[in-house]
Amino acid sequence: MNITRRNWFRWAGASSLLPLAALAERATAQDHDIHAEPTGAPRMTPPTSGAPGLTPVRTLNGWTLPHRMIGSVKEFHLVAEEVEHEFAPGSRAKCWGYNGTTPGPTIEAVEGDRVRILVTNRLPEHTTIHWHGILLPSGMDGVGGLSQPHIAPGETYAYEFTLRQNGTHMYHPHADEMVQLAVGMMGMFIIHPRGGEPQRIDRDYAFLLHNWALHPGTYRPDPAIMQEFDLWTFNSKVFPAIEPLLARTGERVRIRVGNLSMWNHPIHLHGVQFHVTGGDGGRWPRSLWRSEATETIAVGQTRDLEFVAVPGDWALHCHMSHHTMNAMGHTVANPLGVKRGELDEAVRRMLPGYMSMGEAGMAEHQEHADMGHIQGPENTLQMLGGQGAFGNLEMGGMFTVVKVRDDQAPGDYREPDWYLNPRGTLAQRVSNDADFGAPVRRGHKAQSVPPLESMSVDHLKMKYGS
Amino acid sequence: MKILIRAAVLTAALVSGAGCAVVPIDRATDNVAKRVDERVGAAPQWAPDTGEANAEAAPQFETPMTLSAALKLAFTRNPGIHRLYARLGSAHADLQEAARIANPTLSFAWLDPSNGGRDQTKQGISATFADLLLLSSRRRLSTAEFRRLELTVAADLVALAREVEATWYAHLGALQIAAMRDAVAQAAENEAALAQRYYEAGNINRLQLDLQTAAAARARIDALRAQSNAAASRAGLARLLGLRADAAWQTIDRLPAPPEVPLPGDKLLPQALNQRLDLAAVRDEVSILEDSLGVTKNWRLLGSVEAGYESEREPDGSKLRGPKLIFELPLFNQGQGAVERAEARLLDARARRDALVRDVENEVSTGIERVTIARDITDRYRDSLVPSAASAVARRQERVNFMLDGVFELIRAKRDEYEAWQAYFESVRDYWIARTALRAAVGGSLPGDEEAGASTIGVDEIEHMDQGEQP
Ligand SMILES: [Cu+2]
Repeated sequence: MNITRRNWFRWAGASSLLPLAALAERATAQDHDIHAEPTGAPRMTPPTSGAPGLTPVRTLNGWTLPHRMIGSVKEFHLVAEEVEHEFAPGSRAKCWGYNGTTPGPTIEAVEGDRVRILVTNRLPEHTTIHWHGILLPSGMDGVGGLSQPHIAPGETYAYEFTLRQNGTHMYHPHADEMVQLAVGMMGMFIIHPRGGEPQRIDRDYAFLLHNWALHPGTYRPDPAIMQEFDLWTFNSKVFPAIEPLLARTGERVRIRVGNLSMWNHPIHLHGVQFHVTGGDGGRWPRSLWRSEATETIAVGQTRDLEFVAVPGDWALHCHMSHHTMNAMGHTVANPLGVKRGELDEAVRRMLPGYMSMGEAGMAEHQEHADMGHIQGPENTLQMLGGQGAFGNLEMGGMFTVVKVRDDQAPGDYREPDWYLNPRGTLAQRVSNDADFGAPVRRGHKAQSVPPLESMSVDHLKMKYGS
Repeated sequence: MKILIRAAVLTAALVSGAGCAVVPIDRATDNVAKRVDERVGAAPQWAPDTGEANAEAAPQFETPMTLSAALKLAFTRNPGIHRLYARLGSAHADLQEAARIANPTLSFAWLDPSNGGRDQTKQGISATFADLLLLSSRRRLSTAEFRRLELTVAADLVALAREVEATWYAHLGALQIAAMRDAVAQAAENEAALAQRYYEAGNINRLQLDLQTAAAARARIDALRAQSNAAASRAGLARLLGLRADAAWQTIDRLPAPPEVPLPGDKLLPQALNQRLDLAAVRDEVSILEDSLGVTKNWRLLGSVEAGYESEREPDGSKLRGPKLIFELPLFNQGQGAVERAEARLLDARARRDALVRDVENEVSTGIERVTIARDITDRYRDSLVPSAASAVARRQERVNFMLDGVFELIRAKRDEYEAWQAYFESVRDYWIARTALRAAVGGSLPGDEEAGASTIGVDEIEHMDQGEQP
C-alpha cells in the first residue's frame, strides 16, 4: 500500500493516458486477489458455513471479510483507515474505507450466528459503526454519543450480538457521518437464512450506490457537496470499471442493492421482469413481491432484485441519465445546434488547441477522447466512454452489463466475449436515406430564432431599445 | 600712497599677461561633449551653423529606431541643444571681454600742477590701475565661471538625454500595451460573435447576448484609447528628437528586458556625488564666490570692488549668470556693503549646495529602492503571474476538452492571460522609467546599462503561443 501511495501521482498520470478501450479489460479483472493476506490472518472459512446449500455473495469489485471462530463466536475485524481508491483507471483519490478498500469488505454471516466485530480506528478522527437494519441491543447500534462513546483514533472497540434475522443490510459510521460517508466509509452486511433459501439462488450479487464530489483535477472527495456530484458509483467504481454480472441461462440471480448516496436511484435492468423480494427490513413474503423493470432504491434503503437469467448482454444502470456520466460540466453554454462555422478558426488563431464539440450532440466527445485528440484535466475521467460489440457505449457512472450465456458454467465468473445474437434477432439497417419510407409525422419543423434587429441611436436621444 | 605703490607693483606684474588668449570655444564644446558622452553614451553634434541646416536635412537613422539612435537624433536635431550652444557662445564672449583690460582712457591727461589738478590726475590713474589690478582676479573668476557654465550646459544635455530615455520607454510600453489591448479586443469580439451564433441557435438569451456585446464594445474602446495613448507618446518622442510625428519613422516595438546585473547600492551615492554635473556646478559656484569674497575684501579700499554674479531668470527657465566686477573710488564708501553682499551670496550658494547634496542623497536612495522594487515586480510577473495565467488557459482548455467548461470560459481565460501580459509590460516599462530616474539621480550610467540587453517578448509571439506553452 505504501508503495502505491508513494507513486500515487505518477500512477494517476499514467492511467489517464490509457484509452478507454483498454480500460474495459482492466476493469473486468476481479480485485479480490490484490490484498496480500497478513500472516496470522484468519483463515477463510466459507461465510455460509453452518448453512449448507447457501450461495456466498459476490460483491462487485469487492470482497468478503474473512472471520475466525473464537469458540462459538464468529469474529470479524474491521479497520477504519484512509485508503487509496481507483474509481476507474485514470481517476484515483484519497478516500476513507475499511481494511484497505471502499466500500469496506462485505460481512457475511448466517442467521443465528453470534458475531463479534472488532473495529480499529486508524483515522485522524473518531468514528463508530452503525449496523444498518440489524436487530441488536441498543448499546451495539453504533450511534456515536447516543449508543456508545466514540472510538478515538488508535482505539479498538468490540461489537457483539446474535443475528436474529436474515437479509441485505449495511454498515457505515454514525460519527461525523456527513464527512465519513462522503469519503467512502460504507459496507454491506449480508445475513443468510439459517434454514437455507426457500428457493435456491445461483448467483447472489451485491453492491452499494454512492456519489462522490471528486472535482476534476483533484485527489480527494469534497464532503461539502450536496447535489453536484462528479462520480456516481456501484461499489465505488464507475463504468467502464464496474464488473459485469455473469450468469448461465436459466439461473436464478439475486442482485442486492444498497443506497448510501445522497440521491435516490431508479435502478433499471434490461431483458427481464425482476421481482423485488426484500429490503433492509428483511425478506418480503411472497405475496408482497413486485414485478418491476425499474426499482428506485431510496437513500438509506436496500432492495433485493431476483430474476431468472435470459441469454444476452443486458444493461443494468441507474435511469437518471446524468448518473450514467462521468465528470461533466453543468453550467456550460449549450453548444447543441450552434453553427460556429468560420468562428472556430478565429478562436483557434488565438487558442490553437481549441476543438469545438457539441454542435451535433455530445457523442463525438467519446470519439475524440478515445482517439486521444483531446486531453482532459489530470485525474479526470472522460464524460462518457466504453466499447461494445457494435461501437461506443457512451456511458459512465452507474452502468454495467449483465452477461447471460447458455454455456456459462455454474460458478464460473470469468467474463465471456460479447453476446452472439442468434440469426434474425439483431436490429439491422434497411436504408441510409433519410427520406426512406412514409412515416407519419406531426408537429412542426424547428424554426429559427426571430432575427435581432440592430437599432441605430443618435447622440441626442441616446436611448436604446424597443 | 600705500595703495598706489601696491597697485603699481601689481600693474607691472599683470600688464605682461593682459593680452593673452582665453580657452577657445572648440575646447569648451569638446569638454561638454566629453562629459555628456561619459554619462550618456552619446554626445551633442554641434557645428556653429548646424541649427538651421539640421532642421532641414533629412534625419539619418536606422529603422526601426533604437534608443541609441534616438539619443543621437536628439543630440543632432533637438532645438534645445542649439540654444545650449548659443548660451555657451555668449558666455564665451563674456569670457573674452573679462580677460582683457579696458582700452586706455583717452581722457587721461597730465594737468598743470599749479592748477591744482593733482587730485584729478590721481583719480585717472587709479581708474586704469584698478582695471589692471583687478584683471588677474577677473580673468581667474571669469574662467572659473565659464567652466561652471560648461558644467551647467553639460548637465542640461544629460537631462535632455534622460528625458529622451524616459519618453522612449513610455512609448515602447504604450506600443506593447496598445497591441495587447488589440488582442484583448479581438478575443472579446470573437466571444461576442460566437454569442451571436449561440443566440441564433436559440441557446442563450438576449440578456446574455447583450452582456457579451457590451463587453466586446468596451474592450474595443479600451484598445482605441491605448492606440491614442501610443500616438501621444509618439508625438512626445518626435518633439524631443526634432522629428515630425507623422513622418515615416518607426521605433523598435519591444521594451528591453531588465538587465540581470544587480545594483551595487552602496557605490551609487559616492558615484552620484562625484559625477552629478549640477552638483559640480554649484560647488564651483561656491568656490568662485569664496574667491570673489577674498578679492572684494582685498581691494575694498581701492574702491569698493564687487566681484560676484548677477543672475536672472530667462523665460525658458534657464539662468544666466555673469561675473560682475565693479570698482569704485572709496571716497565715501570703503566697500563695507560690497563685502556684506559677497558674504550673503556665498552663504546663499553654500545653502543651495548643501540642499542639492541632500537631494542627491535622497534621490539616489529612493531611486535604488524604486528600481529594486520595480525589478521585483517584473520578476513576479515573469516568474509567477504570467506563467500561471498561461497555465490556467491550458488547464481551462483541458476542462473544455472534457466538456466541463465551454468556449466562453476558455476565451475569457485567454483574455485574462493577455491582461497578465499587459500588466507585465507595464511593469517592465515602469522599471525602465524608474531606472532612468536613478540614472539621472546618479548622474551617469548604471551597472548593466552596457549589457547587450535581451528584449521582452513580442505581442505577435504571445498571440501565437500554444496553450500551456510556458513563457
Ligand atoms: Cu441515479
